[in-house]
Amino acid sequence: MLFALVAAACASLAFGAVHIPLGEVLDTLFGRQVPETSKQIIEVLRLPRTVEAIVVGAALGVAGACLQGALNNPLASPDVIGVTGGAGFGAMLVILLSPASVALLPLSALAFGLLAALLVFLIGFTGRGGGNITRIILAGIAIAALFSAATAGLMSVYPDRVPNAVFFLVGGLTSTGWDNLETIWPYFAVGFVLAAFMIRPLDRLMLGDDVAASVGSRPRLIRLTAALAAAILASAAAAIAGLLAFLGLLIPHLVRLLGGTNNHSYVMPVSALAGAALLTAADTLARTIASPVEMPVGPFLVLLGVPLFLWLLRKAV
Amino acid sequence: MTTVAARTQPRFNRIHGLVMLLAAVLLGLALAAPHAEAAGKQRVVAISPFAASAMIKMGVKPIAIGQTIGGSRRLDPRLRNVKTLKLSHPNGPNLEVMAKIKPDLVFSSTRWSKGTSAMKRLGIRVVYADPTGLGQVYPTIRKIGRKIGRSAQAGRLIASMKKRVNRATKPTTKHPKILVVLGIGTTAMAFLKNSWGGQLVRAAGGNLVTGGATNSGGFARLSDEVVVAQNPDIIVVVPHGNSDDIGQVADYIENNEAWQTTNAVKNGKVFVSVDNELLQAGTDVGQIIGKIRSKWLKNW
Amino acid sequence: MAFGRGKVELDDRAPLLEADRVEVRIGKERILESASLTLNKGELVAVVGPNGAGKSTFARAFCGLRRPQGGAVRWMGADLTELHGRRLADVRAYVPQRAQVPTGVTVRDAVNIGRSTHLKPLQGLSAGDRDAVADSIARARMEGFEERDLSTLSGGEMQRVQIAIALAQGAPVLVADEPTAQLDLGATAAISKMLRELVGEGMGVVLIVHDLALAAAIADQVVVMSSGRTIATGTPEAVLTSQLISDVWGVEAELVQREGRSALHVEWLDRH
Repeated sequence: MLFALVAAACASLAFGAVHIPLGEVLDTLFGRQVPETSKQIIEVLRLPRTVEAIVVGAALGVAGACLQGALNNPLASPDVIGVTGGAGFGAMLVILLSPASVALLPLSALAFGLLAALLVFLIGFTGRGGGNITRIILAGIAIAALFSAATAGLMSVYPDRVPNAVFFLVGGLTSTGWDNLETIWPYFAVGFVLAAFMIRPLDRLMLGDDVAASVGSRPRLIRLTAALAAAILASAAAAIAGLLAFLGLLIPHLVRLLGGTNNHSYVMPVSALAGAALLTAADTLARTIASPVEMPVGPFLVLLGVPLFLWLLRKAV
Repeated sequence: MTTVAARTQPRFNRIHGLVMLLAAVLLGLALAAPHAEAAGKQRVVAISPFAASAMIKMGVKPIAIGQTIGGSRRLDPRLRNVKTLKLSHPNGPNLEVMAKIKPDLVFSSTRWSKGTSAMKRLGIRVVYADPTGLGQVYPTIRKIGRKIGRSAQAGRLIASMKKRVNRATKPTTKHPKILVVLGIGTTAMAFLKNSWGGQLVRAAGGNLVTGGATNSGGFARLSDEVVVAQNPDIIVVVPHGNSDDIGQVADYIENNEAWQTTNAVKNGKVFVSVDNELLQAGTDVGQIIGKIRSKWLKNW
Repeated sequence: MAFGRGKVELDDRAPLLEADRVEVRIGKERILESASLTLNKGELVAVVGPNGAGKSTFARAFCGLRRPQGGAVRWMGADLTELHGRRLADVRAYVPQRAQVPTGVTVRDAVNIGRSTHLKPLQGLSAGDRDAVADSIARARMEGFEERDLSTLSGGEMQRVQIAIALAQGAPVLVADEPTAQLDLGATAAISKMLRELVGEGMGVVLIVHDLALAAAIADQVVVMSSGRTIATGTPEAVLTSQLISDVWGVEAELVQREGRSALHVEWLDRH
């Protein structure tokens, strides 16, 4: 998997809408003298974008693994805790209502993604039967529907601006240098660290709440923390790359089918690698296939991921 | 019943005769001054700003016009007090309002084609009069003139427009590379050669940066790598709708790290288009081409 | 989670577990009114009673799985409310009645999870921990099954894995809720022998069980529950009298014990 990631990252740096000889790519990376245009393309466009693809892919893979573990539900993805709906709404607010402040888009998507998740947790983890998986999932579906409706409403009010929104909604990385990562990286950091601490608690949860409690864990707290880690990672990912929640659903399954084990000490890190590799590969395709026009990465992700997934599924059964 | 009918019969005949007489008089008048009559009889709504502007220049006032997106500065002052209809996707004007106004003729745009059949069902004639290419400008004006019975005025309008366009498109040796982007989103949506704005820019002598992309819609999401590699001398941003935040838009582009090395950003040649001038066709084509050349392309 | 808290002193000479008049309410309804139990080292206490008497609720309450609303619970002299996370896991292991059986988890993986109470967050298993895991698997008689996926095990095997997980915690007390309820005769006997061996090693075992004959055969002490109360405590012979069985279960029966064998002679049908 590490090898796949390295290969995808190399391809991502080597290929783009503008052909740059491999020698020049390497020269740029090693700081040697190259034409200014090539240097600009590699340093400001391709390198940050490759890094974004890796970080976002890893974040979504881990978010999916965390949620599927926390909710003990193989269908869990960042959709279920409202993050996708919230982040989509946050982005639409900026793109449709105030396109001139597009610089705020990542923050708005992040904030609303987290807000939606917090609402879901508030409803799902409090009151009678709080922390119950069905309750969390139902709260998630309700909140997601709420934000999707608000998004659809905005879109019908500003139909002429919708084309600019589509790219975000289907998910797409952009070449905006390091700016986005510079603002969002702390969220990724917090999310990844939280997720790392959740590896063992989630393993315990696999054997049921009672066993987890027997070994001294608090199942509700594990669920909340793991879901929070997932919410942070998925919101941060949405802030940078739009709505790619599908990756979060697919990757952990892919990883489990590949490894034949459910242990989070395997699933979590390998999901990070696999998510990063798949997104980087898909983004390279999206950038180059219709060059000079750029395609959103979402559909390519599905194009690459689904056949792989179905093939593994057939092999497993 | 039969008796009542019989009694009303003569009166009806009298009215009938009166109408016939009136019609004969009107016909005579019509033959004497055909244009004035045709216009006077028709109640016309001009949804497309192009048609509204063409009509008023031919001396006919529409009874209502479509709302103009991006301000009303390009609107002829004579149209200022005309009723303005709100337009919304996908039908265009509100159909109930249209049923109430009940115009005879509507100059619409293919953009609102969804509402066309409904308007036709209301007994309204719908004619598309909103050119999407420079080549359609004069034929469209001729068509409008024909529909409102002002062909002669249409001819005069075309002649004056041609004069302005010719002046604005005098051959030039300066052909700077110019990138025109629609709105500002996460990636650049570039105007292609077949878009309205793209055609104006090319007519003004600009070398439109498209990276060779084509599609029927006239816009494409261009890779930033292509933008950097093609290195535009000028970047024009066309915001959607209201343009209060021009400063913010220009700031965003100038601070976009991806485009830092382009000549346009380095030399501060980032402009923001206003009033929908590169999106919405109008009878002011010549003025706009002239503006593109004098304001944006001037130093080349 | 096993994040450390202030250390609570455990007293080796105190009884392993003292539960005194424990009370549990759901809303206004009292589902456990007053239940008490004392467990000493090397002792097996069986909690018996009809369905719905509150046996499982009692066990969950004194194990800290659900908060009691009244009464007191002390583990080795330390109050339950003072014991959290890792400390609680160090004094008692709880084996649930019905285990969740995930796929993609081997027996060894599962038992590792039991041992994880000995690790700091993010810390891996040491050689000593691996030995402890292997030992727990051996004591639960599951050697040779280490690499088997949990989803391929039989009911009896799964129950033994549950006990192995609990043993890997290394706590002096094992609380098992109906471990034999779903098992056939052979598997039940195997589990019973295993529990008795653990008691022989000095552990304390609390067994929730509804089979009176089994309870009588393997328990040192029997606690009888009825309608949310513990109504009798003592040796099986002293407590499980025909009178009590008739009072609590409403059935005429007699417990017969001879040479380590036990049987419940039940009057299934009315003689009249």
